[in-house]
Amino acid sequence: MFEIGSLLKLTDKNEYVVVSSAQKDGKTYYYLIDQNNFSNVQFLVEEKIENETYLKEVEDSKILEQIYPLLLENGKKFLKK
Amino acid sequence: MAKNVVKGNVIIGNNNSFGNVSNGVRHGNIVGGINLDDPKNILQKLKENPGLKIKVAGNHVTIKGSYKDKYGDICVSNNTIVDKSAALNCKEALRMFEGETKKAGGKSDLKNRMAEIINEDKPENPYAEAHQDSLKFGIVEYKTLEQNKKLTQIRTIVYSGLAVLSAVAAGVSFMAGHVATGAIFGAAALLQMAAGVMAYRKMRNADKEFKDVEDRLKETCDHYEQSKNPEREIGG
Repeated sequence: MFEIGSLLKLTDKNEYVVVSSAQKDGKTYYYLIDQNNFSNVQFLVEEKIENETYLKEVEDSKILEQIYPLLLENGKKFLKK
Repeated sequence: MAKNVVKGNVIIGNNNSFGNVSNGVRHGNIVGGINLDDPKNILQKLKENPGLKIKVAGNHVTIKGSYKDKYGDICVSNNTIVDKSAALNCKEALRMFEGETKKAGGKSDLKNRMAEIINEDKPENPYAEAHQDSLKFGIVEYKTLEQNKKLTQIRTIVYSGLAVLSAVAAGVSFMAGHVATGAIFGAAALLQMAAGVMAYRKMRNADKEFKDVEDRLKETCDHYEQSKNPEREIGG
């Protein structure tokens, strides 16, 4: 699991800040912002394929709605540290 | 290196249906000399080499020509191991190519080439079509928070990102209560983030009525800009 505040360089060649993460139904979700282009945001879910970790875009709008509050809550906890 | 990959081919991704890409070919493995970072560069190559074949996530466009064998293919698959930007660049290049061809009015060589474009929309691999919007990202590099040397900047981005998410998803309560403290780093950045989140939600059909949120964001950002003036007192 990637911690909030860490940096991820993905295969789209962009470097993202992990703004928040959340667990739901056994899956880990991330809210990322491109540190060089703030309009490039990603909501991704972690997937393991043959022991390699991939991040896949969240497609289901209902899941998006469900994870927003979790992401906000976890992000706030990070900022209070 | 995958089998059947010859000099001149530019292949990114992992699409066995294409026939000459195997698991050995991964993101960024550019065999040829085409810069996929720039649509204009790809467009130029298209003009120069009418034999180039571009495959972008199930859409297979061939520009026929006598140089086909010489120059090989560009294959960008955005449904598996991904180079999203390269795929988008190729799509943009094709769009520009088509635009230039149309402008040519049927009298130029470009027009003739356009007539020869074969758009095989039926994918060889149905999975690719069904999942072409399911972008997966591999992880190239990971730096923990401790490894970052720009902690203040990172925290600011996290703070602002949460503020924007709060504003877009659930009203502006979180943001409105804190924005005037100067903890965020600029109205323009906030609006960019908001635009990104909104675009994402729209893409996922999760969009609601954003006008109100957008107006309130702008209002809050104006408030923030004003707060940077030390002679002006702003309540928080």
